[in-house]
Amino acid sequence: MAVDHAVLSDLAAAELPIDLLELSYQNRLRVIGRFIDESELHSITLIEVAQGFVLRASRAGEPWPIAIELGDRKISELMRRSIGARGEGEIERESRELLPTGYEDMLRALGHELDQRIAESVVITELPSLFAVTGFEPFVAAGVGETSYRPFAEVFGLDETRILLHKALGRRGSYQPIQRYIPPNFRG
Amino acid sequence: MRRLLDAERSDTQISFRERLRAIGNLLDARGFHAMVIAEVEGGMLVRASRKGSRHPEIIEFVDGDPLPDETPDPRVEVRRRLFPGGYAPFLEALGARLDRRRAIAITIVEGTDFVTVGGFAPLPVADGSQIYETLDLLLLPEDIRELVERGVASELPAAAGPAVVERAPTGAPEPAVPDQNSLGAALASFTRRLGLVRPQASRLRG
Repeated sequence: MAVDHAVLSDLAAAELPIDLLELSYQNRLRVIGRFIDESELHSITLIEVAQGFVLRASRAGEPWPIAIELGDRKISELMRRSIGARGEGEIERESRELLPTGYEDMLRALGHELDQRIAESVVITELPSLFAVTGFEPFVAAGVGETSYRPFAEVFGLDETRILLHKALGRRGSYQPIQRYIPPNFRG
Repeated sequence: MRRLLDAERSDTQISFRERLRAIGNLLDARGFHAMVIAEVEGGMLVRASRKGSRHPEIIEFVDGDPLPDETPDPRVEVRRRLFPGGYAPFLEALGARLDRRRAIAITIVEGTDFVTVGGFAPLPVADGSQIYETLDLLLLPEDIRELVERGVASELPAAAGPAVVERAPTGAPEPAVPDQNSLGAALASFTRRLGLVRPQASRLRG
């Protein structure tokens, strides 16, 4: 898994686990979710493109959507900000039935599922009653033995999102901090 | 080349029917699949992958630019389970429905066995104020088939549909956010008017 070396020093200073460096869907979507919460956006469609995402979302009180480019550099910046904000307390988030704790938790949970699938080129779209997630995933065709990719699609309605968030909360509960990060040149 | 993210919204707009049909023809002609269409201020953002590729491409349609005029080669068969007749007939029929509802800010996302349609549509309000309702549509294969079979004609109030429609006014209209108790009733009422299906979550998983 690739890591963002630009945030290594931030993590080391904060004594946070190196897991947070991984450019996984979980980490990237978590900080994008936090950005959405902070920006008070809603009705999102998140489209993965080369070197990042395009976020299409509406602002509070305004149905017309805006499109925001979230390139890899911007996401790294969001990760640094997120790390810097640890311990500062929770931000205010709008709570809705589908999103009881906001976008950060929801997108983090969806990101974990996407990492498990080894997904690529994903799209996440939000409707009032569901999240739809599409993308590509690897599979080995029977009798061929070569890894190929196929499209996948999942719909997370109210029940499914509750289960998803519950599972994500469970993972956080079992989280084992903190293995202090030691820069590579200090090892051995 | 104009960039969509720098473009401004136009309040007079070519109908969804026309735009989505043109986009559908382009996707069909180039053999794209895994379609995502998102309307943003200034135009339409389309993401799709070419046959055999998992690496999607982004195509931007800026308001005011000429619509693409590509015609699929009838000799080239592109198999799509959800759209056996191609994207164009489906998108044109869906566009006609969205025009009828004067929808704005739409999204259309193709899954392996469903299509989601999001956006906002104005609700008729007695005092003339502008209230928007959120579109929340999940179309299953049978819904898509029915939509295509009924076609565009059934969506138009007159013999010919408008080529240009007035978009909803600018300003800051409040999207209707029904409370939790009224959400189901509001959506059911809305989807009845739109004539599309909003299945329960239990039907959603494919």
